[in-house]
Amino acid sequence: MIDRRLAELASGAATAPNVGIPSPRKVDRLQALLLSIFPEPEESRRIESLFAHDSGFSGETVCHYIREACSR
Amino acid sequence: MFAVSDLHLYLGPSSSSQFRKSFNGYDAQRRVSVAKALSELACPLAHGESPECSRPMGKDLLLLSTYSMAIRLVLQGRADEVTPAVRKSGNQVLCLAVRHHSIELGLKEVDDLAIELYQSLVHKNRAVRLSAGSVFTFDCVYLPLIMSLVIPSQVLVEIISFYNRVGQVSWVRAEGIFDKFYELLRDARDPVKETVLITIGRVGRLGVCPDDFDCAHRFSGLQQPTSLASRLVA
Repeated sequence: MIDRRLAELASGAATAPNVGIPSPRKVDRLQALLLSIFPEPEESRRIESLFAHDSGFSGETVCHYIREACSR
Repeated sequence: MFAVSDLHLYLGPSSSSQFRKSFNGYDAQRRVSVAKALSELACPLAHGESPECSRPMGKDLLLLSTYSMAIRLVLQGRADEVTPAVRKSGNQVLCLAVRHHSIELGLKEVDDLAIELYQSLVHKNRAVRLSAGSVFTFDCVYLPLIMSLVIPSQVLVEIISFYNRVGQVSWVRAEGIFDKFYELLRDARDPVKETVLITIGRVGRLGVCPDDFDCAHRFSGLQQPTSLASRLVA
């Protein structure tokens, strides 16, 4: 963690590391996790469409998706 | 980054009426896997890339209501499907959701969850009772590679910690939890008393950190940081 912070300081991202937008690797991991929760074909299609836009996603978008899926 | 309102553009306008998740037929192992996946998702959803587990950056992240809804579904099933291991995993998820619940979102969801957890406090399985109230650990796989942190997970302790952050306006609610503890210590079976005692001991270790006080001050106008546990014990 210290090394990471030092790298941020060196690169000028000292005051506010971008905590809102996960890296592509993390996005892949998040997508895999969501697919493990929603593995059915229709569910998978929707998850993939959720991540298909390279503009990324927000935590609230994913929460909204889960709520939509789980609400009765 | 697209907005929540854009979601229907991607999922279709009728998605909410056509798409309903069900865990019917899931065995215990699959349910535990779902709960673990939700646990792993919690930190990245709440604070993105930051490796430090903190409260959500945005005040509008409805993680607790989302996760409560999902876990209720996971816990619906036959006894052989919803085993103590499943309940324990579900409590882990709820613990993380409470940890990331923003004070600005209010108290009601946390209040409701506390009442639901009273059932787990008297569950016949010790691991379930402990996961509802007190300490066990799990690995947060999301964190970078070798940073597999061991995080204490204890829903009611987390809830009291949340009330502590909120400040005086929530203390009457925390007192309700302590009333439940007293009731169990008086009336419950000895195994339940044992796990309640462990939980109370853990609550007693809670304090108010400066960061917590900032939030509490904003919410309730508290002037001095004060430990809720010390108030209740006094």
